[in-house]
Amino acid sequence: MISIGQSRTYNDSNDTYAKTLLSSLLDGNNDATEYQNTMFDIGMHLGNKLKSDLDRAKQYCIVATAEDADYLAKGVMESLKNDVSALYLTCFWNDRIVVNNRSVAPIYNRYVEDGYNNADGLIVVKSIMSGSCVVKTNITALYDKVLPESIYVVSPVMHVDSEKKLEKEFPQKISNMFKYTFLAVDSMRSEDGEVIPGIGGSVYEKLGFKNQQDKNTFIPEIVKTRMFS
Amino acid sequence: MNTKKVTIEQYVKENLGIEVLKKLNHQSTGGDNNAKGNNHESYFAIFKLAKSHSEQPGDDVEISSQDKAFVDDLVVHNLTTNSKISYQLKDAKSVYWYKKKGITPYFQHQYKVDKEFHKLTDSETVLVLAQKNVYNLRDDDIPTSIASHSRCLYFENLDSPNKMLLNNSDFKLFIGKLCVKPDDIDKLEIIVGFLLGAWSAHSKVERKVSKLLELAKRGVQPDFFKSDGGTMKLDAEVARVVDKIDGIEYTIEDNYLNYRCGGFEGIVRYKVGTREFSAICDEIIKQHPTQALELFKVFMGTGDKS
Repeated sequence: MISIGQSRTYNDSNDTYAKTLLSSLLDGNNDATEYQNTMFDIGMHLGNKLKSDLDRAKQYCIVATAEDADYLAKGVMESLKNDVSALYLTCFWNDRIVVNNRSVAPIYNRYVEDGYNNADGLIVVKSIMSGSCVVKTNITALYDKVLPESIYVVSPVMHVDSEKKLEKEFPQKISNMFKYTFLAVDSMRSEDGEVIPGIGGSVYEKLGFKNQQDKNTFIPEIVKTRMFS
Repeated sequence: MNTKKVTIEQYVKENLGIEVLKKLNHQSTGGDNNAKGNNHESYFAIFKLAKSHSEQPGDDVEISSQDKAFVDDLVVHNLTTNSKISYQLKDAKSVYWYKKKGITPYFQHQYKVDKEFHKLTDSETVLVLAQKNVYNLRDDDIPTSIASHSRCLYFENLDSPNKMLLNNSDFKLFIGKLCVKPDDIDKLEIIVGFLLGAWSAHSKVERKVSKLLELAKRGVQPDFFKSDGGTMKLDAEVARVVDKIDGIEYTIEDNYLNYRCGGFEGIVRYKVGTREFSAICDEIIKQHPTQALELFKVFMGTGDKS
């Protein structure tokens, strides 16, 4: 048994609200709706922390995955919507597979809000930064189209090696732009590679999806609303 | 090719001397290759594989590494034109033409062996450098004794397919020529993975570019390789359902169905004509969606209702 104290370092040890939110993710009694609500609240909290780094006069593009869009990403967007010039949503549906012993995350579907390519910076929102494969893929997919001057990676929990792994995947001119906003860093992994305590398990299941395939056919409400607005 | 029953070792001993033969034998043992070097060589090998396939599509081309040769990191031999390019790869801060372990004698010997022993019409020797400053220096001072058949090439030694594809536009271009989505790095990364896998598994026994590519494509999933056959059409009944939905655009490219509507775009994960794609078509006919989002949910799935 590993206690949280041994494997987790909080980004701000005085941030009791962050500790409460992260503890709530680990509560096995919470149902999917409670977990989703907590993710939204975490998104708001992360957004509030991120605000001071952003330029009110500039436009930003939120980069979310389908599973995070209605909860974590929506929370971040809610907290930032009045503090920047414009916020655009992009959402990706990635598969997670292994090819030649490397994790890859091909994109099968994407939603990009009109004007996203005018953004000055990317704000990549991810429920957990573990191997960084999905984040790498989605930044790469947008980089040439947006040519951002800043890239923020926002996540409740990061594995201690995830920054290094992400930065290794990019030329220095891109990796130098990365800035991270997070609540805690975990150093342990389970035998099957899951970050522990992380966000309490597989985010798909915790959010109420049956599996990856179920997640792949899910269209977030925030995307539906914007598609036809 | 040489018609006499003389081995390359005999030829080298008689024409270049016993010391040069020792060098040849030493080269063939693999020298001081390490994991980093092998990585550089593997990326370069699949780059040349993709480039050869694209630039000499009808030619009989072989590609091999660690041959019995003076310049042996990678050899691209076009049997159709009877020409060969031999590449020496170096990822070091100090690479010289003449100093100790200098490149020049190896390039000279290789050219002579190629022209006189192998009877090749054309032979080229290329020094591939991973460090830009070293490349600039050596490209500027190629010795006149080998200049007619030698050149330098800059090819970075990067440690991830993603970084290779972002940083090396030629690499991206030629890998892209094999891919159904040449602009999508997430798909190209998968092609790179399968090519590296095939090169690692088969390059010691298979040299033909066409065969190596066949092996790389064999049974892969997901299959983002361009297909050689023609493009299939969408079933007429399915097309009638899709065509009635407002705002939907779709195309079939290399047997992948692409769709878009209102900022949303996607690709059906199974190629047209496969059993899985047929299951998705069956589901469309059964559900008869009338709204874009209803249709997308079927396109995004597997055709399996469970």
